[in-house]
Amino acid sequence: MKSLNKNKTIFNRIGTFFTKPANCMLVIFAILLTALTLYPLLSMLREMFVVHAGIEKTLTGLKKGNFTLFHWTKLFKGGEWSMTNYWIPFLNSTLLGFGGAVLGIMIGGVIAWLMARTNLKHKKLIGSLFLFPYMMPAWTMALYWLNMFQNSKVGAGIVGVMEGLFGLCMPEWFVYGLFPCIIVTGLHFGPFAYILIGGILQNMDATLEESAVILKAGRLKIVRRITLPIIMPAVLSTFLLIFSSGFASYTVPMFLGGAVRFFTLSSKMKAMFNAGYTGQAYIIGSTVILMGWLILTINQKYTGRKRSFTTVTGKSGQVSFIDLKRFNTPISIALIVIITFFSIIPLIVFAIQTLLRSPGVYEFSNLTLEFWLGRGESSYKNGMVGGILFNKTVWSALGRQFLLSITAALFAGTVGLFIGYAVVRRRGTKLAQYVESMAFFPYLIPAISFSTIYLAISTTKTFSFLYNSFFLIALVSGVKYLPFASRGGINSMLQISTEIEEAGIVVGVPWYKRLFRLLFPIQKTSIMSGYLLPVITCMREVDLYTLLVPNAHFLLTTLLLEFNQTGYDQYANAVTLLIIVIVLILNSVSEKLTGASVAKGVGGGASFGGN
Amino acid sequence: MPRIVLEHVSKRFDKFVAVDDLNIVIEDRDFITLLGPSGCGKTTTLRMIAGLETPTEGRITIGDTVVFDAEKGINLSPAKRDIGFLFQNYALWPHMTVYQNIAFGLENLKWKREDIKSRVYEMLRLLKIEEFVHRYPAELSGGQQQRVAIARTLAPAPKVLFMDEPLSNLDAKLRSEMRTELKRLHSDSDSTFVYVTHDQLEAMTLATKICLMNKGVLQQYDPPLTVYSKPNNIFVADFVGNPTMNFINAKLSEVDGKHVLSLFGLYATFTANMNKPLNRENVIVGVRPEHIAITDSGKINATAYSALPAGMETTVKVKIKDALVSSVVFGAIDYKTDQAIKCDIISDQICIFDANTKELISQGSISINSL
Amino acid sequence: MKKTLVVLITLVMCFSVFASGAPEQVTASKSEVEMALEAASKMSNEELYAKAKEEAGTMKVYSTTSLCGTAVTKFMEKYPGLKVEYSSVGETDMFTKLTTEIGSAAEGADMALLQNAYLMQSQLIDEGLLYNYFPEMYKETVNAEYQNPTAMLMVNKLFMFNNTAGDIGLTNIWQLTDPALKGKIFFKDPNTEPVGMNFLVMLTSPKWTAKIEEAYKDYYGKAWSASAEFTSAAYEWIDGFLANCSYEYTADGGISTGLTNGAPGNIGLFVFSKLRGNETARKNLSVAHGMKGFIGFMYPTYAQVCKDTDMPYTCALFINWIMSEEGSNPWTNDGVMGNYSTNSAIPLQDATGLDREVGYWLGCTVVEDGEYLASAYADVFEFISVRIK
Repeated sequence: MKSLNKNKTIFNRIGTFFTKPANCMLVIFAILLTALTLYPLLSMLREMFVVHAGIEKTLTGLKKGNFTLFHWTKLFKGGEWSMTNYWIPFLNSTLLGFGGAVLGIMIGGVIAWLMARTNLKHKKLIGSLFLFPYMMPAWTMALYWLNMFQNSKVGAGIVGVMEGLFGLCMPEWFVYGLFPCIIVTGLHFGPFAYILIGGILQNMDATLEESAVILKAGRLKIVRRITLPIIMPAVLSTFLLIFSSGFASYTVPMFLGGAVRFFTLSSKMKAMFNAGYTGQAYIIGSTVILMGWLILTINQKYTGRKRSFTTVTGKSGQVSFIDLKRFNTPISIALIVIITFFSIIPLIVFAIQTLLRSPGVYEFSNLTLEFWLGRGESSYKNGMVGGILFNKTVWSALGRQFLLSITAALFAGTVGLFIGYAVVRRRGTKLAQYVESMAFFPYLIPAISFSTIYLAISTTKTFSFLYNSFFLIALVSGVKYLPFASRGGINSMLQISTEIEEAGIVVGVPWYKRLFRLLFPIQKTSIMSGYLLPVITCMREVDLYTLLVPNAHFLLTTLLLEFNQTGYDQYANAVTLLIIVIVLILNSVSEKLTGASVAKGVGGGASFGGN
Repeated sequence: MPRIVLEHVSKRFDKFVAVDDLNIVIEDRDFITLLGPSGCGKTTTLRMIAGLETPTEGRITIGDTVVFDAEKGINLSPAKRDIGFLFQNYALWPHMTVYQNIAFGLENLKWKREDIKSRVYEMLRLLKIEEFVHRYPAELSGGQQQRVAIARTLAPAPKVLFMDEPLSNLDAKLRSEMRTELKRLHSDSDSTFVYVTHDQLEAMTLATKICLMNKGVLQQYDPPLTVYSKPNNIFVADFVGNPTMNFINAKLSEVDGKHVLSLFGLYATFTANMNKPLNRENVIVGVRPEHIAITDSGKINATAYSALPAGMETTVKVKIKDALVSSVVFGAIDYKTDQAIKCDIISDQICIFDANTKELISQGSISINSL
Repeated sequence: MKKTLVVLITLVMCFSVFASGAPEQVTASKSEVEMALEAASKMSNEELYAKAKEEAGTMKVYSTTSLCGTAVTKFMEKYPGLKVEYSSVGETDMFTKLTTEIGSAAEGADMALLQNAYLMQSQLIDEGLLYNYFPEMYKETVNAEYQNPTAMLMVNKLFMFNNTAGDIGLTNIWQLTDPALKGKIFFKDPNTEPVGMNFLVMLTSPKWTAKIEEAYKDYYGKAWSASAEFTSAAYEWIDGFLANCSYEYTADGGISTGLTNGAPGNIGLFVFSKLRGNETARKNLSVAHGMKGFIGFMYPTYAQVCKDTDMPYTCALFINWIMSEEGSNPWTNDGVMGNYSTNSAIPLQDATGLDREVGYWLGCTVVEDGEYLASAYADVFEFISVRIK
């Protein structure tokens, strides 16, 4: 009888547990994310311990699928193999990730501070120009760097713009290797840091800084002792995001590192895959997950309960801008010039590349619009029918990419929003923590491993309906972009006090109505922005799709890759430019129409007004 | 010594005028409260004096130093104004312990380490928060945080102390406790206090002078009791005092050299104690609730609409004809609903306001003419 | 938490093993597809067409070369009623896709046109995932080396140099190991370019080691002898060559442009076909014809049938087609250079005047051999991989 009672109480408890919609959602998401995130993670783990077809069979003398520690012992045995295939690239990746993150945070942080705390001139212009490098794929920036700084003294000896115009010959370390990789990574992610840190600065209670002013602390001291420590959690999570991207970056070190043999873990992972050392490739690939997890842990330790605090107070209306006085004009003009150099000019340089009949020959007679507008025989000889603007393949690929981006964004954004709601309402519980971190992990899983695993899933009998389906790529991109979407969801939900919902509960409004009629409308702009970010990221994603789309011509970005591989550089550049322009247009149109923008999506409601 | 002078100070945000041509002088060791409803410009005024906000026009002097002058382009940073500022939400730095919070300002003054330590402990003792010295703000209650904020503000011993609604986040009991403490602090510290509040009771009980503002315009700048008993206009009269002053529409006429008021359908003779012409017909008579006495000898017939005994005094809503007025009677007296009573207007501080301009035109006593 | 994790891992392991396909069937007897392919190899095109028409459905072909699209269109024009769908798949993705898809529940490829003899051998052929088909009708015109596995096309990568300051006189491969050339030889990083890696591995085969030794003797005037560091001349050459390489460019087009516009005397190893569309490149670059040892390498594009196809006759007919003069035209027409059909009956078409018959290239370039690669890869890769740092 006793146990029956006990059972009853348990049932009752479970019953009460599920009356709260946040709990139901958490349980559903916990299951969903376990399947979508933990499964790929564990599959990767498995790959590190089994024998694959090909060379691994020969080397281990075992059968395919057998358990083995070979990959680990081989990779970490020491000696030159470990050195060149793991430790040196590991060091390079770490330096690149670290340098890129530090630089990105410095650039983004300084600009965010200037925008949020001073009376800097031309804020609107600076703010929108500064976002360009983030909208452009990082590798376009790398190519731009080469175009600018390559010179007759280094590498192939091609005269770059700087040498051509000013006779400036930069030394090798400036043109190739770690230094430019860090610069390009920092420049690419600087805007991202700006958005994140700027958002926090906007929401941070200004009196915290004002009270330090009154207590006679200098400007620098305030930044160092008050502002920085307070925004540290945001800075650290920005650091984590940039570090992981820099650590795992492939194309930027490929373009800028090859000449001086600056190799990173990603290129070694690729080499291992190419050579059939699949197990070791997975070990190398999972290093970024480990590093990410490590930083995540440090982050959590640093912002432990004792010093935990919310920076969002909502009472930030009375920010008084610091007067830059006579430095205002010089600073703002310098900023505009520098930012233009890395935003508008790369686009122009890029556009010029698409107009050159023979690449690299900068002569007037070599200019052509063939690659954009060409029709008929002459463009047929260039490998395709017509310039890209008259090409059916390009347009249908663009259409599908668009549809995919929107579908993926709807998935990621909506799930992210519900996760945001559920996690915020049940903050502090184990389940909420689990869901929150599970939603973050897809960010750390390399795109190649991610798509390989989903390909394998889609070829099983049970899930064969997913194979080659549009739904599969939408699902995969949705999961991959979930980290941003759920961060955004959590941020926007954190800004709404519980009372608003409780007011609804008291008068008996059902939960879905509370969400859709009360909470979501309040955070409309930031939620819209949360949808926008995956759209834009998805518009330029390549790695995730090459394995999963039925044909390289299926999406615009895979088509781009195809052009690249075949060597149709002008077409490739034209498609890239098309993507960048579309992304920029998307962002500004949505900002005009709904007020939503990438900046708001990441920053959780931050916006900088002009002055 | 710190005497603060504001001359023609204005602050505009785009088209919105937050503070309009403000002129006040705050004497050394005053305890000034800036009082007014929310949005009246009181916080902006305080922040302008402190240097956290830049006025659009005017001149501010603290002691002998001009800290702001729009014409001469002087604008001293808050750090150079030698002030202390207590924020409404305390603005304690979440990443520093109580000790670090209090010591921070002293470090900036380049004090020696031992001196800092002894000063911090002195402040901790003064505010009775010694035991929390190594805690973080998030681990303290609202009242404790408030004390830490005060300690932090007082530690460098500023000559002028600005406070922006420092008690508004506390519960009623703690608030009245802290009021007492603040008043003692003021007398102990010989600093000048400028205090922003929207709570008239707080302003009345703490201040040596109240600066009452509305919509950016100064309404009255006087000691609390003057503001209470001799309000410049209906806004001031209405804002100060609880229960609020009774306002009765009346007609004023002159009969046989005497001023006769017609109110409640009755006639009353008004004897002014101010030498101001009374040449208007439409006036509003302002009577404080404690000046409506309920006595059997009263000349006004009324009924008790409701009675709210609070122990020490009783607020009675009195219905005279169709009008409702409040009366406060000492002691706990309960009236039955609609019980017939008699009352009278007793005081020589009855206010007469111009019904159009709402300005005070006279003060004096009223005697109801017998029927 | 730990417990659940263990349970989850076990579950995943089980699932993955289950998912990675049913246990390989080891059958001594030939499968239906194999028998069909064998029969097909003896048929004429008309007979095959009739058989193929009986196979309802769409034949799917994966290809690393995008010109396959044109071949497919022309094929369907020639043989109405047959449906072929072409997917362009990247070099590395090809192997991931084929190993995952063949034998799975997915409706993947029926056949593939693929490169990289090493991975094809070790991951697909050795695993029994591909069947070879070679039509008897080409037995005489295709070199026996390219009949099993069937290669339909060859692509060459050649040593070329910038001649704007005159001929630099590349006469021997050992010149390329001269430390003076450090950073002046442009080559795609073999780590990310598998055919480049295969080329290096092939050098250690007895045939090419002998040629390298011969060149050594020619260049240094003495016979090569083993040392503590190098057990064969090939290893020594690879060591010296890699030390001089710059991996600045990640694509052959980049090397071509970089070499054309760069400093005189720079050397590159990249696909010959890059010269076709670029007049300046043709003017500024010269092929190191006559260089002792080899002047580049060639790699075949193989045509293979997937084990689980249900359309073997259509596959066979398509392979016949792309090996015919008419069907191979997308690759061999005079607008494309540096691509050669393995069918020697197809005459060379060249508009630039620079190209030569496939026989010439085969005589002076290193050619991939899947079986040698599969056997020697591990050792050589280890040697090479620590030299790319």
